[in-house]
Amino acid sequence: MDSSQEMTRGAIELVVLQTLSNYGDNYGYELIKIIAQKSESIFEFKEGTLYPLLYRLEEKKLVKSYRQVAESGKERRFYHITAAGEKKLASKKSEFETFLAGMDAILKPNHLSLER
Amino acid sequence: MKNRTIHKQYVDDIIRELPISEYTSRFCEELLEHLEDCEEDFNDQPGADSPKQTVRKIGDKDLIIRTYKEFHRERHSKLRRLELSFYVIFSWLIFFITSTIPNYLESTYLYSDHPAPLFSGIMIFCAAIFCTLAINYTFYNFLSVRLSLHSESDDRKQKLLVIFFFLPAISALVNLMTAFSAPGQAQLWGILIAPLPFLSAFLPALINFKIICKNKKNVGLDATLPYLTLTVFLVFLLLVAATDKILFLETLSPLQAIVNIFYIFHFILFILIDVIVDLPFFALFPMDNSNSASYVVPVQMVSVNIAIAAAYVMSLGAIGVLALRSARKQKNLAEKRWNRAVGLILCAYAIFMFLPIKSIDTPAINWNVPAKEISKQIEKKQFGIFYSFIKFKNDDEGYVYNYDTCSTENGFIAKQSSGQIFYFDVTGASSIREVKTVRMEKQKGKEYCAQIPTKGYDAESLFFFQEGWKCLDKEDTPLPMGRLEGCAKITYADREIFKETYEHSTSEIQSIEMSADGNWALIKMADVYSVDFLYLADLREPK
Repeated sequence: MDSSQEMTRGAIELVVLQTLSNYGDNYGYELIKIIAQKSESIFEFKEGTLYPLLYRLEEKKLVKSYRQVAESGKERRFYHITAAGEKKLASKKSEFETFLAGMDAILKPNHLSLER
Repeated sequence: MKNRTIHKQYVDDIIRELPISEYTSRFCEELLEHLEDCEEDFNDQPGADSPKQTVRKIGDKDLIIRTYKEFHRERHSKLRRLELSFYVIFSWLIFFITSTIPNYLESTYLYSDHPAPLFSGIMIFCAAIFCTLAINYTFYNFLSVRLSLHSESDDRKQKLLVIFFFLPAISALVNLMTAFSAPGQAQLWGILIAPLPFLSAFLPALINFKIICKNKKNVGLDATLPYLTLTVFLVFLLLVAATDKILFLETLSPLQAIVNIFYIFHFILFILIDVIVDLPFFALFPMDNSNSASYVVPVQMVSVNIAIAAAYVMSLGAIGVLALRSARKQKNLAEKRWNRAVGLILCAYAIFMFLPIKSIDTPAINWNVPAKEISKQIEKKQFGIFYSFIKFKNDDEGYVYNYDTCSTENGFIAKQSSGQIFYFDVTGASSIREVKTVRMEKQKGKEYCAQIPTKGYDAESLFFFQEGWKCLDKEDTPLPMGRLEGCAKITYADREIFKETYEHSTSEIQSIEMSADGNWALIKMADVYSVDFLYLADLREPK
């Protein structure tokens, strides 16, 4: 896997964890809807690819799942962020913020002109 | 309802390509629920083609499969590395064992006078490669299934590979067993170990199918075949354990039939490969009808091979028909095509291979008196339909059932090198058909022929002629390979008993035993590979 893929996956993992942390336990379809809505459709990935990502998080014990009846009256698998997940989220967020700050600093035009 | 079918088909297409694990059924479930939720949302929008849009929204099948496989690979990456290391190390180890030991035995004992050590080397080398591949593939398959690395479609390819790798592998194993065992025991080993690779190939598939069955209900023939095989195998083992009479004359034909099913299955590819590998050898030694070795041996090898292949293919044909029947019932198009293809190939192959059956060659003797090839009769009963193949293997490798003979008051005794003793009672027999063959207790047999050793034979044995017997037109010119100093004509009391043609003179008389009344003779002949042929001849003048 190249670095851009790794980065994208890292970002999506962060988005999913943050959504679970902010909006509480939810199931796949609802999670996608929330993410699309809150990110103003910036994060509109192919929905079928969400589940392997959730499984990966579950394997890492960052989330856990359980089946429960949803508001629609149908039973769905809900995902819950664990304490380890919250911890990971915090560290990932910090990493990402540092990364973004660095990128921001480099990509700013005035920064380039100063260097010259 | 229609929408649900579209969704089901979409999810099925994805699941079929996925590695099987505890997440597979869950993924299937969640995708279906996701599609359902998504469709409900689209249904609220007027004019929307909800099923199509739903599927488009959830994503391209290949992308989903790729994403899932990526997750799966990552999950098992450590174990997979371990598995591959094991595979690499083990393959070399097996290859070393299977190639070195037989080669050593070959060079020191078996083929010490073989004209083409290169040929036998190639044979062993091929067997070793196949054996290595087969054993490794089992481990690979087994571990992979345990680690859930394969998808259902991968599994099909695997099953085929496993089966085809095992066909030659068993012959390599039997070769090894033959090298280690005394005459007679090798065949028993062969019969007993033959089902093992079959079982080991199917066990992982069985485990795999259990997982598949858990996730999907309709797997048809694929699911039942391994279970069926396992059941038959267990029944077979039980029968063998219960009777323990594989090599005895009392062996019943139903038991032989059960044994045959397994035994034959594993030899086909070996036989085909054997023939292919033999061809360059015979190309090196140009065909010449005046040279009996280059004439008889290839004919014998090919004809026996074809006969065994035909028997094997009958079993394949049965599976072919089963597959075709299953294809008719199958609703899933892919499954249907798969079963039909397999069925057609197997049936066509079965029909094709069944056509040219020919039996093993025996010395070309023209008898002038009633005579019966007793050794053939005994061995045929012992080995059933394997007789030709075992005889062929024995002829080719120098392992045979040799016989020691002696005469008693009322008949003859033949001691087989397997340790069994047979008594031929000629008392009151008005024709050769009435001569009774009885398997004697060993102790009793010893009492009768105390002077005869129970095992082995004297390779240096000379012509032994009793009074009244004459060998005429004995060939004394330098003989090419495969020909012995045969008597063109044998007479007793100036009466011609039999004659052999020079072109086929590949046998020589080892001994002649006469009955007390001088009416019967037990003639032992041996061919170039020291295979013994016992003939019982009625010497009485025709009435």
